[in-house]
Amino acid sequence: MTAPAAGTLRHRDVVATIDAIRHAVAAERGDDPAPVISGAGTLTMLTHQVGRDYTRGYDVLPNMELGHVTAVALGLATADPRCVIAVEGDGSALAGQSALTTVGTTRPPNLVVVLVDDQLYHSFGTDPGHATATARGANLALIAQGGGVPTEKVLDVDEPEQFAAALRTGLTEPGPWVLVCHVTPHPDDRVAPASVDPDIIDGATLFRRTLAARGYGRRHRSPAP
Amino acid sequence: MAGLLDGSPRVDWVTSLPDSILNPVTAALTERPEVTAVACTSERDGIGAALGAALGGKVPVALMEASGLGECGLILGRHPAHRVPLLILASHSELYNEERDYHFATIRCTAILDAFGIPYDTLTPDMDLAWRARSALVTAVGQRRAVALLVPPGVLS
Repeated sequence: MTAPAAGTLRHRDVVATIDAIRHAVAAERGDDPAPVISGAGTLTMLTHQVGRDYTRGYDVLPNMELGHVTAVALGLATADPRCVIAVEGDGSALAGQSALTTVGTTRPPNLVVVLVDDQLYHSFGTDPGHATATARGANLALIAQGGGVPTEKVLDVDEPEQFAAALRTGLTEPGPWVLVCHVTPHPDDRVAPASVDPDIIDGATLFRRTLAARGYGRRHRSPAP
Repeated sequence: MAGLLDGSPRVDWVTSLPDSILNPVTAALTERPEVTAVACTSERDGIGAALGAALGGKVPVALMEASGLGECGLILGRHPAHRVPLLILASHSELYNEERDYHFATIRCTAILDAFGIPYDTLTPDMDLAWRARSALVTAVGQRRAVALLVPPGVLS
């Protein structure tokens, strides 16, 4: 059975650290930050609270559908050699387990999958939550390894500094990396469900245009005669 | 294949699961060095990955048995929000050459395309298949949307 998180890592730490590290690595390289595909619920709401430095473009795609976060990020990683970050909760990751196998067999070196495991279906943190399978023995790290992700590239973390170091490694060393963040729910991280601005449609457009402006693909249109 | 790979736009990213009808197409696509191939574990992952690939500027095609469409409802529901191209090639249809009882559920999964308003055509041997494929791809790219072609048994030699 997966033990409850023993460390101090919180949802808010994960979101804030991702934004800080991806911008820091980008600054060091003189490159754009790695785009993020984020799951729904708490992750998206917190992203809008603490992780929304969009000064260099709208490069965090929030509210991806349950069970599809990693697959979408995988596709983006195979389309362009620059790093991509998937941020997916345990409920979503369990619903989309096959994606971890596709990551394990495809092995894109530029993909970092961050699995935020609080052992709860706890989408917006406004109720006590309901236990996910990781509270009853399922182990996301073992699922990733069993799916073919190299064992040494699957890391369990439960402290903020540990996660920051792991993410930096993920963004600077060949992957694919799967970082399983064992987080401890905290009352301050509870966020009420709300629509966000930009909404899904506007955000999707902004994200696509941001990537296009960064040179992701140039062949959507036939060349002018 | 000419409809998918020659001219502009052309397919440069493919995801697939093995399928007896479409295997020759999959093999021909995946052996092309200019085409990125992702062998997905489930069709739902394939459509998700195709969405990501299109966000990255690729022109994706997803090949699957029609049964796989039944796995893809949620992500096909999300797909229009992103206004990116996707060509789906799915084997089987409700009408032509379906002699096996075990495809009972498979052929009904084509209803997913109707449910999500994805335009599709059912290929038959008398058609100009290259033109159909090319035209569908042009629409997928030009309209930035998902379109589909159904391939019944017996159409591809």
